Amino acid sequence: MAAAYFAPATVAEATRLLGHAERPTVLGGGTLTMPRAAAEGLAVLDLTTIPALRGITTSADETLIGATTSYADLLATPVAPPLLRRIAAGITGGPQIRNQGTIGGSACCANPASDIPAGLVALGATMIVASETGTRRVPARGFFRGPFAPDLRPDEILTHISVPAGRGGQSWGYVKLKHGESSWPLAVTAACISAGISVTIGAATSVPTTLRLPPGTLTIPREQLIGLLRELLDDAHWWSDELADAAYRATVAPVIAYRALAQARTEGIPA
Amino acid sequence: MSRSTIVNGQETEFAAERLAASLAEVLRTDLGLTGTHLGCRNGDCGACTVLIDGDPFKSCLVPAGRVRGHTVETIENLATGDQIHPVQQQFWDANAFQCGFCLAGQLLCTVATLRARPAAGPQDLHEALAGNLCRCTGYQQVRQAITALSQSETQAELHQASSPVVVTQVPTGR
Repeated sequence: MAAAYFAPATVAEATRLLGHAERPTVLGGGTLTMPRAAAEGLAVLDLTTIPALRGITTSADETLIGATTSYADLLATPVAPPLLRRIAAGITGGPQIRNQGTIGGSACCANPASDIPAGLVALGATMIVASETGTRRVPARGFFRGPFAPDLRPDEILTHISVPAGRGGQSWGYVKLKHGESSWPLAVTAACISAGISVTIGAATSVPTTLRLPPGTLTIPREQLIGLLRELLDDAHWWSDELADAAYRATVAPVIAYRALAQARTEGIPA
Repeated sequence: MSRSTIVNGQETEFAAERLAASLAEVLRTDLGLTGTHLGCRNGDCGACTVLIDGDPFKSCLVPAGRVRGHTVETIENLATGDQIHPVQQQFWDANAFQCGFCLAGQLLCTVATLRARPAAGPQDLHEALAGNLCRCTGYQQVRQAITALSQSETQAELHQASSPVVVTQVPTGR
């Protein structure tokens, strides 16, 4: 029998369909999930047919991003968080992937070698997930429990991502390392300078890792600061894949983190 | 929601049992539109690029059911009879292809960009092709073609010749 295509119109319909006997694969944009679903002829549950899940709304307290909001949507929304817009502009795969790929889908795949997990952790985002029995709010830093292992039960879908409103005076830097336009990133780092100084490392580590740095960090000379970052990352769980092994990532990540801090200090990401 | 899809200007209804298949498979196998090439089936190479409501997508990644109620344009729609599209002509003039496998994707990304931004510069067109790989490594010739396309006289000609599928709906389906 041919695989089913489920096109729910509402979140309630989607969560009900999760229990369907065909056990459909949930598609956000589908850029990460469709290859396997198509190759194996799996049933799919397409969340992009739910109008309420796409779009960005802002209030005094937060920016609420629907789970199927694409990278292109972020780029077309000037009020979206500048860090996420910067990330969206650099997503691998060209305009086709930015038109289709979604911030929520990337989060739910939780591929360590991707941009979105570290970005959401750096922003202090909250993931809002729904099941038939209700909704749950999970801080992004706890949502990424391990490689490809988000805190999402089989009966749940991600519906929204809440990003707290930026406090004034924040300056962000975002630097990633990849060796070709078509490559997954080997390391991504988001630095934030406000009342405190922090840098979140992703792609190089199994789950995003945030370092809180002491005041005065920015006056430390380059080599010394890279050494400090290396020390602070000593017990990190380095990610290893076909593009780069753990030792390589451990070597380069402190340098990339330094560059993000330098960027946050000198230019910052324009709003 | 409309059950049908406008494919190259023709109202088309996909078979119900094919809605979970990739749009690329359905275009090629069910509709015979084999100008859409399937390379990596993983979203990396861009050979299968088609335009959905005017924007480029890698059709190996799009479930066919998602484009119901939308317009799809494939490489077969670019030429008018025997008259190839000015972007095709420019690629021809610059020898911007070798085996031709990636060509449909390169052309459609270029066309989509020029329709949306007629004054696109060489860098804009270069970035528009960031998601298209050429295994023959014919990038320099592609670059020559898109550089020529960003010259004003070519753009005036394009403006005359370009006949996109009428877009009436805001793209959703992402």
